[in-house]
Amino acid sequence: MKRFREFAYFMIFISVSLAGVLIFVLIPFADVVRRSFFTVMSGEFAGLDNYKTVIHNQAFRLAVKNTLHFVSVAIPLLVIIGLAAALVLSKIRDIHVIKSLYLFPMAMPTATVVIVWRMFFYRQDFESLVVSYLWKNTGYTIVLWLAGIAGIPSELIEASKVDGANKFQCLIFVKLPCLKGSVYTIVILSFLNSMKIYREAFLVGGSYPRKDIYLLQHTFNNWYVNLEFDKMAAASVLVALVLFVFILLFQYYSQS
Amino acid sequence: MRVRKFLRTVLETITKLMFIAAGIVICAPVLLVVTGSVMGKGDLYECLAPVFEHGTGFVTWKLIPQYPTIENYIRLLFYTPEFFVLFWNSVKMVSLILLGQMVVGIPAAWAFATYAVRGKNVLFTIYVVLMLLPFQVTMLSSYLTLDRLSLLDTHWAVIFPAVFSTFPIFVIYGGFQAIPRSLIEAARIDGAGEVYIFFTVGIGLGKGGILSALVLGFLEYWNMIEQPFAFLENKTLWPLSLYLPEISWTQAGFAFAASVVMLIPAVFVFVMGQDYLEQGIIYSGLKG
Amino acid sequence: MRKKSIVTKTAALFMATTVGVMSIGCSTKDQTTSNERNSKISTETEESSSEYEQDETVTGGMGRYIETNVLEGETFYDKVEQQILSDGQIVFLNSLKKQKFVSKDNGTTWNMETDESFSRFIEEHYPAASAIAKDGTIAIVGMDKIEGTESDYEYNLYIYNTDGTTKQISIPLPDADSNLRTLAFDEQGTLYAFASGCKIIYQVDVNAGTAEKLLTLEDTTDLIECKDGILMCLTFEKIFLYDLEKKIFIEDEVLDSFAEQNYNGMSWTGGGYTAYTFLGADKTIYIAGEKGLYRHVIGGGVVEQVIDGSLSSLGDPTYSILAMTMNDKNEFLAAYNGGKIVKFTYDATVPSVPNDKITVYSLSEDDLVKQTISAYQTQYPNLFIEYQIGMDEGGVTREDALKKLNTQLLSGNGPDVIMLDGINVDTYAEKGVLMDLSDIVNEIDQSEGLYRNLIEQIQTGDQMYAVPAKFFIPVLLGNEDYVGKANNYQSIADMAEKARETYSDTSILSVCSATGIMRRFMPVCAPTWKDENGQLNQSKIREFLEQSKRLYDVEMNGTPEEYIEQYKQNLIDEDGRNYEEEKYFMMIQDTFYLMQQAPFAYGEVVSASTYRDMLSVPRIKGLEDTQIKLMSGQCENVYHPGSIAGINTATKNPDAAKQFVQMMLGATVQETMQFGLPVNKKALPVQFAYDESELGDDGGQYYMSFSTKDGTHFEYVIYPVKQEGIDKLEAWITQLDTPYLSDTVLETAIYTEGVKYLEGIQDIDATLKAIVDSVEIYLSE
Repeated sequence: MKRFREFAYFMIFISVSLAGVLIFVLIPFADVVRRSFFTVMSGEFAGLDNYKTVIHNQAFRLAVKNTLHFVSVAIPLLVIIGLAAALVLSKIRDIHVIKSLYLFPMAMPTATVVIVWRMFFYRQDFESLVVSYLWKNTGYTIVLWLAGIAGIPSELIEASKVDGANKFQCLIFVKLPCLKGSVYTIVILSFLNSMKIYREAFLVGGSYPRKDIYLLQHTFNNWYVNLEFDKMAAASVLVALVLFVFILLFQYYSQS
Repeated sequence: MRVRKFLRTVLETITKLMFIAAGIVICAPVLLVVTGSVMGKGDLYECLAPVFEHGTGFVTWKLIPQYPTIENYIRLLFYTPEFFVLFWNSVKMVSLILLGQMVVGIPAAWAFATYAVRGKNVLFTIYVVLMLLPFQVTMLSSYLTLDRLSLLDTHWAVIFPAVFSTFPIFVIYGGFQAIPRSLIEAARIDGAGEVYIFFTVGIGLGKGGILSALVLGFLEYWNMIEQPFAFLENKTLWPLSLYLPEISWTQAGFAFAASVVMLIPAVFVFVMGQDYLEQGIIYSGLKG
Repeated sequence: MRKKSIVTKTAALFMATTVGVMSIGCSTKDQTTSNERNSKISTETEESSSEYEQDETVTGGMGRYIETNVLEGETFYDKVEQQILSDGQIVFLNSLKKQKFVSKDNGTTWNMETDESFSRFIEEHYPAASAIAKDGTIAIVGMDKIEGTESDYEYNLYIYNTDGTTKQISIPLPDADSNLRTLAFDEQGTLYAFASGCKIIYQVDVNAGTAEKLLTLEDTTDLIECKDGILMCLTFEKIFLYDLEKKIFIEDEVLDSFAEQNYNGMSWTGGGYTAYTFLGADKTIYIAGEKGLYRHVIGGGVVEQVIDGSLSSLGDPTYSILAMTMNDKNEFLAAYNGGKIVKFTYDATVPSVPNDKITVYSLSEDDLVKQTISAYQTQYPNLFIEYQIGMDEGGVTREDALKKLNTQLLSGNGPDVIMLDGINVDTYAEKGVLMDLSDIVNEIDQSEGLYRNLIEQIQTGDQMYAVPAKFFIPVLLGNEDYVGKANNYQSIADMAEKARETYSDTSILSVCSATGIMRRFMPVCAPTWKDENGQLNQSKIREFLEQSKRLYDVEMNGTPEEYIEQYKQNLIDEDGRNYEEEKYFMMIQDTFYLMQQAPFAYGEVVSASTYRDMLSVPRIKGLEDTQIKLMSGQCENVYHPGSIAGINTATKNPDAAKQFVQMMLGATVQETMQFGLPVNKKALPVQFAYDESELGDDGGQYYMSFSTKDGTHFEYVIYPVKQEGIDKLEAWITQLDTPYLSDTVLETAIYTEGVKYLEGIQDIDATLKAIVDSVEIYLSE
């Protein structure tokens, strides 16, 4: 009975969202999945051909490589820098101003940012992209970490001190485990924002930028312009699958 | 002991100053944009020409322009009637989106956080994956769906998909997760109905997450580009974010002014939201 | 808690600012004198004119003006005056041609009337302006040569009465620089004369022969009309309305904002009016122009559209209005340059917007498309053509436009006719988007003749998916010593360097920017950069860059600084448009050559008139040994196709789409095309047709003159192209075999990186690598 009750209330609360997501997100995506099995204009069934084409497509591979590269560098950097800064700042009182300063970049429209970037860097390289990413997102990350840190029960810290742990051990064995929940949120958000770096890369380098900053969305964008919808569809499905698996695993880890 | 305390304060102050210095550097672009907006064409040409002509060369920037002028603002506010139309478009769309997101997203996040249902995790993961998909992927299919619903070329074409975005659910869920189950159980034992619990415990203690979602949502949609461009044919429906014209050095001052004006609401939301943001997260009641 | 109050204060400040900003917006919305409101109204006007169509479509509204050509084939020369005589006859007076076109049946049939004595009169006094009164009296401002001088004229006012008698009225003008310029009669026969310089309008009593100053106008006018006690004066920025009774100017903001919003200056261009205004009954004013015919009750609140430009000849860019009037049945008569009179009659049985519709799409505005649409609409009034321009607004990039187009194509709402200029034809052909147009091409080829080589060369495969309707030819002209040996890109650079040795202080290439130079020579080099498989030919690209750099160095070392500065300043106009991307940029720019300040000139022949002007160059004194030849860069026999038409396979109206393309390729449209050389064989010689009787004594057709900044005045004669010239052109055309189709991705890479190399910031290897890298990605996608 309880099970059913849980289920019922769950459905009540989620029904509207579910309906909307179905109509505006899932059904379009299902259409994408469908298209991935057909050719673009003539509508013939193509089986897994599109997938094969995509996997062997050099541009796609380059984009995937670059995107992974970026994600594996930028996100850890952001998370760690954010944590480090937050740990330091958590000991200081009255940091409101600092937080405001660091949050500011989030509000700037990308087009304006790029102008400034072009003025001072104009380089289309990987490092600039990472810097831009860090610039924009460090603020919010610090805030989230700070919130998480503040939520660590002080009794635990006290207890560990009593047990004779030094600062470092305290950090590793007490604080970090408590922050697991924050890690999950922060990593996901960072990942989301890392996808957005495409806009900067595009505004600086155009559709065909330097090799290092050619990302997944560039490929999708260019395919779109050249009517290569079948490839786009197959690639989208692949990307979605990979993401799905990755997040499932990640969720599992952070909830254990 | 006093020495210790003194040292501590000094250390603190130094750290603070360092952070502030770094913070100002971080905000430098904003300063640039603001100072740029009051520059006249002459100053701007001097500073920007190298960039736009060659795309190379370093640029010097004058912090204090030689001939400060508010001509850009005047042109923007008085001689560009489209500006106001677009501004209100932005306001309208963003407000409706945020409102919708709250109405749809808060209950959904609550559902995920509170009720144990089989397959919930899978659904949630699906939600997260959908959130992460780049716009290009579903652009065509969304377009077709919206077309069938006859929503194209109206503001609803942008508003509806955004309202059902799974992103705010994710953020609010994070906020709800922090609420201890014990609290909810306690309320249930006290005989409170589920809906009542939702409003009092959920929304009450989940404020931080909700406000985070609002702030993030605002920033996201205030600056959105792809959706309105793809789904809105009629230019009088466009939001402000699409207005920043392709910037050439003759228009730079004007674009800066437009950016600053666009920034103001965003900053406003920030300032208002920041406090609530943190309050909500920190003072979240019983832990353990 | 201190924190909180600061936050609250800041928040309040922001709120206040925002509210303040918003109220500025609101209050300026309410101010009656601000531009904003006016523009808003005009937006409404614009929207209402399109709403006008939309509403009608929704309610199935019926009724619109249909036009018929009631007179064709006569050429009007210079200005035409309109009048409705007291006996109801409608008159279009073309003084310079000594002709009066008269209709006695409200505009359905017309006769040309000439009068011996009037013709003689005109021959004696060249009419700089004229007007005709309701009783048939004609007033002329005659340009009389002053005795004993070579080219000094005085402007005298003459009255030519219906009985053939003439008299002269002298009006004392306040200064020597003022001249009578514009005339009009009112219903009672009083004449109004505008004098330029002092800008005074005089009221002239024709019978008494006296004149009185009436008012001073703010600006010069070329068109005035007087009716129902209102004097209308059309000036560049504003239409002035003067109430003769109350003796004041009428304030009409709605009219002013309409004029400002819809016309970038209203004036007489020498060939027609960009906007023509006339007064109707009951104090209404009509404004005619490219967007159509609009009516406004003077002092009223709206300007409404009566005839839609895009559904009539009013929207045809090849016609300019000379005069327009209306009869008592609310029918309109318009006289266009090129010699036709059109009558617009309201037909209530025709749907106001045709039910049938096809869409024509192009990335940028194409005049030939507009011309074809106009011709098509007039011939098939039951079909509505919607013209979609992908990049009509500033901020839209080519890619965004293409994405939108593709979305439409895939969802089945794509355009019926797609102009493929700037679009990769192969991509769309491969995906099955385009229809085979072979039967259309064959049909026109058989009936009128097409330059098939130009069409076939751009196809890849047996089908014809895209057909160019016009083309340009890159040419080189100049002194034999220089141009003779310039047979490839390298020797062109040699030629430039040699020129610089002799001409050290001038612009050699007429373009002072790296991108500009690359762009102007791109058509004769680009075709060789890719091989048949689409792979890059790196050595060719390298050669292009190296030679371009030589050209750049030649140009920049020696051209006077101010010229370079000025060039850069004028490069991007206020609206953000780049001059180098405009269609006239590729044209032959021969100013320096004509003034013998540079030994050669180059560019594209973009129209029949360009060709004609070019052929006239060797007839200028001092330039007799000018050699003219096809420009050979890294490839030879190059042509630059344009208006490349394709039809969507998924079109719901294939017949109409085909008809449209046929019309675009047909002689009727091609003969009057103003920009581009026709692919239609029959049309080519017609483009060069001229009237023997209009030639000057020296055989010249036009006279060009320009003056430079330092005051040197330069004049030369443009001669008509005779059969010899036409033959030469046709011979050239048969030779052409290398089309230049722009590959946007490759070219963007070349411009972006090439600039750095040309300006010395990056070395050739790095540049080449960067280009190759980005194109590689493109090719591998």
